[in-house]
Amino acid sequence: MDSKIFENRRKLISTAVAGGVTSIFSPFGFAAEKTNLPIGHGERELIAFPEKKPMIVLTSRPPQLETPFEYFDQKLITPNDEFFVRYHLAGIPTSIDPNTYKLKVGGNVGKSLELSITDLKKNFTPQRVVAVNQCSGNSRGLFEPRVNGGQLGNGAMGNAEWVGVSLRDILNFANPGNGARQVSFNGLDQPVLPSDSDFVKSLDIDHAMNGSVMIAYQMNGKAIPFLNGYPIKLIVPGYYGTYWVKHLSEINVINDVYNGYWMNPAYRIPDNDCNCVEPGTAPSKTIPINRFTIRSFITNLKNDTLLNVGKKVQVRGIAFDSGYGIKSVLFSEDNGQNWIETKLGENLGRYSFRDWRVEFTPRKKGPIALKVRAINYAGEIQPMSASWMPAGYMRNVVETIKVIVI
Amino acid sequence: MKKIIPLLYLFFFASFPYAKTINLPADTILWRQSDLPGYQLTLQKCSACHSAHYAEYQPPNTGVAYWNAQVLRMKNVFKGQITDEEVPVIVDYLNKTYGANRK
Repeated sequence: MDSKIFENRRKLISTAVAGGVTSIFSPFGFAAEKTNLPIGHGERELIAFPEKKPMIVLTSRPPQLETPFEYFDQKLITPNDEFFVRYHLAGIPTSIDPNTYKLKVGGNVGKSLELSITDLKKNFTPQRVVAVNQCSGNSRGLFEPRVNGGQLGNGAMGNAEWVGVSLRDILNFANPGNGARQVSFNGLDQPVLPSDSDFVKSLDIDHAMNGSVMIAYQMNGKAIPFLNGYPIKLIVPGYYGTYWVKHLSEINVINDVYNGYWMNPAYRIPDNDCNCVEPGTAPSKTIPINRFTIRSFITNLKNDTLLNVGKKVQVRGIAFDSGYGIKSVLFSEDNGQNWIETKLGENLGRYSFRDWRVEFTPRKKGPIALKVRAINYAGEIQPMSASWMPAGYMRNVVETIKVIVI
Repeated sequence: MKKIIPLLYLFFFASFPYAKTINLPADTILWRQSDLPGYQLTLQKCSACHSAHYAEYQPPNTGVAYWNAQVLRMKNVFKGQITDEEVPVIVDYLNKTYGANRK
């Protein structure tokens, strides 16, 4: 790696964690600040949970926190204390001793393992990746017609530098047996009442062994925040956050397709080319959600921002995809009639946010619609109109910001 | 990358001094008060596992089918202690208080 680029990255990342943890025992009980998502029933509270800045509270029990969108501007790396939180079950751990923490690896393996955090750090080669994590239901609240579920705006995503161990190295050490078909992952979170609905996810064995999947013990140069999966978390670059199991405690190599609640019927998408259906209808056949769709956002302007006629303005933002790499980001100042190429910023890797910027001069007074559209090296391009599915996953329509020129 | 390895190792081998503990805030969004019999049941049965946000933020077009599916999901998948007789009582409260009927 070029050392200058690395220095820049360190700067980015140290900025990202600076001032991160104020107090892990933050006092509560103050009147929460309020914000509004631009949707019906969009009133939200902003509350600072442990190790977090004030975040949009989707639910408090279990904690589900959305990053206020303005936090994304001019930050290629999302700070630990601004990174979104998504739990499924309220039986979450609140105290973890890293000295006694164990990761169990079993199932169809030649050698079952019980690894401490020190084992992971000492006995395996560290690996790093800068990768976006995004909730499957990010932007669900913006679906039209509206769909039920967690009503998120666009802030259930973040980009971090993850350091840890390759899952391939761990599995090779355990030595999967003949017939291994999938690998399942469990964390310390569990259902409040005893049931078979523990949050367990699975990946095909080929994916688990392809070298991209990691067990991270570090996020942006620090320990992973408690609510993001301390002390270790599964990292599945390019795949939706549902697979990024927090407080990872158990890995099993299995000979069939894992079919627990959170793989089936939860987290399924229509099994067709668009992963979509006619609004209001249900898919006839589904598959597990998998890779991200391609997206881009304007981060420095909001709806109803006032711009001065004849005065040059910079528009900037971020783009990402599932790992093919962002090839270009196009910008339109006239609601999509004409498009110009934006300038891409530093490339932190194919799974990272890529920043972009462009300048334009509004020529006429009145409302205008700004649009931004990303294209990747696989030829994927954001659609001009939104597709629909009942679960509200994978939204990636071209975003529009309506500003007013005065 | 070569430069960072020794530094990382130094950091890794330092032993961890103590367990990490968090205190989570109390629920701030509460179930909407109602004279409907399902309100008290909801306080007992639903609050055991999750905060009222799950109902509070559902969109304005939410109809009775959604509430029915959710209460059955809580009962059947998550083993919420809800009897067959209690299901429609809770659904009635949720349907008349949230979503399309939210005041």
